[in-house]
Amino acid sequence: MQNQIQDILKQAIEKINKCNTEAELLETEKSFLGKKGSLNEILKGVKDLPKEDRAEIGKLANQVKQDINTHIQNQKQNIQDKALDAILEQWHDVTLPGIKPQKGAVHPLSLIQEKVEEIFQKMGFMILDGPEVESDYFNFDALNFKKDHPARDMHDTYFVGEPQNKDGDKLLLRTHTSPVQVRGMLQHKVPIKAIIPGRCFRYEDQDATHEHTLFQIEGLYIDKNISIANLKGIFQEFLTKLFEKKIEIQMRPGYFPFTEPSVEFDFSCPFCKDGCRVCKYTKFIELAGAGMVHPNVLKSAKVDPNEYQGFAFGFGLDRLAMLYHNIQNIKHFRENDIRFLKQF
Amino acid sequence: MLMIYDWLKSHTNFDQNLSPEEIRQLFTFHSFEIDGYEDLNQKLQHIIVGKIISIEKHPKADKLKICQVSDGAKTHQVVCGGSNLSENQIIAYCQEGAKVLWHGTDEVTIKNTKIRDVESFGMIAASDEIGLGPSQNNEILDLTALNLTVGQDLHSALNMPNLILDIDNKSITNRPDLWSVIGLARELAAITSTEFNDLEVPNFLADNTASEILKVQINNPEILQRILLLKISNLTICDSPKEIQDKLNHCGIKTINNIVDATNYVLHEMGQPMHAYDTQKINFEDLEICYAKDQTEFAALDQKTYQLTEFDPILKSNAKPQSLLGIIGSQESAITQDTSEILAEVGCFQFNIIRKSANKHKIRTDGVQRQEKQIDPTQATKALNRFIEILKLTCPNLEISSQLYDNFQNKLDEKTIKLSTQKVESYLGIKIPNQEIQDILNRLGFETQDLSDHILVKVPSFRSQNDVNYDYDLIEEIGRIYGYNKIPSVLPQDSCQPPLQYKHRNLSNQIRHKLADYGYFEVKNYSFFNQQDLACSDRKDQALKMKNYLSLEQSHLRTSLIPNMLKNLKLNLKNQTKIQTFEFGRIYLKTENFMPAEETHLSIMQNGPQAFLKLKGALENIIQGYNLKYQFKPSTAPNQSAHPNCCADIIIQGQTIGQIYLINPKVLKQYDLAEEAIAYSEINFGLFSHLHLKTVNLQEFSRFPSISFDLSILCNKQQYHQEIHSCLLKASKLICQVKLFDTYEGSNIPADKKALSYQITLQDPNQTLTSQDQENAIQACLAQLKKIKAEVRQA
Repeated sequence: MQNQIQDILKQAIEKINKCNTEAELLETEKSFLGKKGSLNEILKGVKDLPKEDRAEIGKLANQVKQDINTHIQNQKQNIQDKALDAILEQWHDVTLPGIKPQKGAVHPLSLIQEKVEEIFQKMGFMILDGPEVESDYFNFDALNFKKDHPARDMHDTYFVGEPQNKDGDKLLLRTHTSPVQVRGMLQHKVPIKAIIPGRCFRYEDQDATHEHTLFQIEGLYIDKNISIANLKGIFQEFLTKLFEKKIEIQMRPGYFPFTEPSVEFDFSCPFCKDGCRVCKYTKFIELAGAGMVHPNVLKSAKVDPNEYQGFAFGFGLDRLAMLYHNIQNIKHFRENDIRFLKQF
Repeated sequence: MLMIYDWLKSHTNFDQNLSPEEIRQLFTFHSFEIDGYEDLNQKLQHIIVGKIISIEKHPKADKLKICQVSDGAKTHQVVCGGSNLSENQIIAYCQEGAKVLWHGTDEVTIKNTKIRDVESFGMIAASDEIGLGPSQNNEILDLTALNLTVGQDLHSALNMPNLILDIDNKSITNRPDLWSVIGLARELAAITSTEFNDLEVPNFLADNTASEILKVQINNPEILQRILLLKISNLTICDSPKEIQDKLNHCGIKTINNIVDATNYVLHEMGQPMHAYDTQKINFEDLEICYAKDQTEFAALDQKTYQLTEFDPILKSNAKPQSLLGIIGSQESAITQDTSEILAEVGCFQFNIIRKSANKHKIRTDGVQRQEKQIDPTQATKALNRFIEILKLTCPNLEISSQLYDNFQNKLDEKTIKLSTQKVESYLGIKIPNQEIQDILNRLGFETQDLSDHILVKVPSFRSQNDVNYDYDLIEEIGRIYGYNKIPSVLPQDSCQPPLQYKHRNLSNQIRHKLADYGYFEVKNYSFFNQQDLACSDRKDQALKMKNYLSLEQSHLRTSLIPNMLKNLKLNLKNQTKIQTFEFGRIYLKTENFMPAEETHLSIMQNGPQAFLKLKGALENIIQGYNLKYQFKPSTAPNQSAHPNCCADIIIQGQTIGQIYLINPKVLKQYDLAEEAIAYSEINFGLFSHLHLKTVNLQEFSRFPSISFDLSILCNKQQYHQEIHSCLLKASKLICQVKLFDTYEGSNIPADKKALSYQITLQDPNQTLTSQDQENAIQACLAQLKKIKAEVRQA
């Protein structure tokens, strides 16, 4: 019987080594060590053996069982290793196109607007809205544009046909976001710290740089001791954050009826050191009009100019987006061509 | 406005030689913008006065000559094709390096070269080649008559100005005083801290012995601030002196004759518009200043005829307008070759009256540009004297033949402003010493008196109208002359109060990005659409029509976003087949109030197979993202542009916030779209953003296993899924989910029926379910389905 058991071990090892899959191995294990396996078949004869031999045979059988198991485990390891090796040997073309979820895009003007809003919000500015169909009063009179003053000529205005004049007031499409300065102060009182992004309209023909529909960002900061130096500080901080680069501000005199003093802002070109196409080789880029809010504007907003003062500024979002993304033609913003939009 | 820089500079003691760019910056950083400049000195470099010593024929070309040209020291050989060459002729000799306009158009740099095998050193210029006016018949510029020194550089020999500035008119709209040489010179002196030398003019009117007294009937005194009238006779019409002509030409003003040029010269130099009437057409017994009668015809100097109205100010004589005051003169009393006597007018009119009238007739003369900004009336007499002085250059024997008529209706009050130095510092954010503040103001013509904590400032007449009125106006003067660039950048000290946030804005930003992630492209359309587009909108009755518009396509303000989005879709179909877009935009609606209503709408559009369901799915995802319960309910009032049987109201918290639908194929046809189906949804975003957004309140989930079974349900074709779904969902409280996984129509089932297959999931929070539970649930479902006349399909 000992020999028989030894034979089983031999046969088992031989068979195990021939196994190529885990299923075969399982089958083999069953055929030798299962309930009806060959080892058990032999061990059925143990009861016929003399008592003294039984212990020995039992010991041997256990040993063989253990050996077979070890071999099975080893072979299992081999098979698994081989399978892994086979996977590792597979060649892959990593340059095949990826399978993408379908992707749309946010309009570049919205993207830049969000950036601008975020920076100003972090500096404590709230974000206000106002009507796009505005009254002549809020668009001009309240902002210290005198009736029949040539300053009104700078704003080619779209007028809305009806309703007809009411108390001499007319409806128009706002030519700038500045009316919301007055509306904002009337609603939220002073001190106030706000930006107003929005759509404005100029009745003028379109070309590569002119549009009748514009997007502006207006800024307003009124408190007891706000100065031109603060205007410069805020603006410099904003542009430095936006372009992630130290920006210098250049200020020069300007003229707007609703600010006094009025200034124009240029900022150091973030794209070059010594002049480039974007800054027209001047190292500075024109961006904004600004100034200290005119006392007459404060009065329109029922704010006492002897107590409060502060600055306002305005700049074109379209222009900023064009600079930011190197867009040459303003037409792109309104054509809504997906070939343009999908690049953002 | 063109200005000769040298002319300004001559009225100051400023003696630095700055480059044109430095000069531009000087003005830009302290005063106004310069649109451009012409550097005449640079332009005429390497061009000198030369003399032709001898002329020979060119051996190989009939039309060319070989000239020996003297530069005063040496003689150079120059090949030239000029038709008027002669020996001893004084010419403009362009040396190597000179830049000339070839045939008056393309700029080339002169090099020494060979022309038809003959060496040529430089060029003899025609006048158009060096920008000195037109030339004819291949003639070179003949300078012989001018008595110039050979060898001198041409620019100084011709006494030309160095630099012409083109001033940006817009940037001086608020500065009436800057519309003149004298005003600009004062500004230059102030910027450069140098002395300003005002124009000195003799007073010809002091010993005026003429007896005639001019009588003018002033019917509408409001037109006038001041007017001077004077008769001047014994005049001869001729050309103005060369210097006057040159200056006017360099400033872009056409020269006409000595009288007209003199009025223009005074206008340009002093900023005071003038007019000269030929007295032959003036009846001095009948001079009237008034408004025109409606429908009066007026033939003006510009050869055009205007229909005047009762808002147009005129000088009337012989029952006719002789001029549109301050704007333009008449053809009838214009200066002609035969004029020997004139009525000179120096007028300072009410700016708004002039502006209104000029704008109405679209007349933009140099006079209007100044009158509409209000002219300093204290300069009028000086201007008239200056006019006489200029005229005397050509008419030394002119006679003043009337008494001066001077009507000063509105004298100016002296204006004094109390300026607090503390306020200057608070506004500008920098402390400027008292003395420096005063110094700046003095240089600009303001008189100051230091009263320690404030300065008393007297405003000069040329700044006191529509310009400097209050202390903040003075602060601007101080700021700009001091230099804004010297003001530091300072962040304000303020509280840490976080800013007020608007839910509307945060939501729209989030949804924008979600939609982009779902494959939609954001578009931004114009706020306008056209008359036909109105048909797409339910609210066309509330549409606002524009009074003025740039194209018929944009005659109305939009009342729906759909038309422009359809136009986008059509444009994009040229390049791709699958299009998914969205827009956040306002619509504008007439209301009972003066101010219209503006609603922000979110619109989403998409084409392609199953467009409606895909769009609906995207919307559901967004709504669910805010933890909102919603319903898409078949609409009882489908939008104008909707397919009447494929339109659902989107209802959240009991409010219909918008609709989703397939666009009516008739509408698509109208927009020339052959697409089979386009899905569209327009949501009133204002309503959406006002919804009460609840924070997530966690629902504990069951730890016990769920069991599922399928039911295939046979129902009428027009049975809404929603109804079956909710009927199944409420059949048993163990049913936690009902999911449609198949719909079928066709063979094996009656033609008017369809089969919907649902997977139904049961779960109990507290225990494991048994097969009996499932059986009970199925029975409950069957019972419910019976109520809506649907049955379970037998397999």
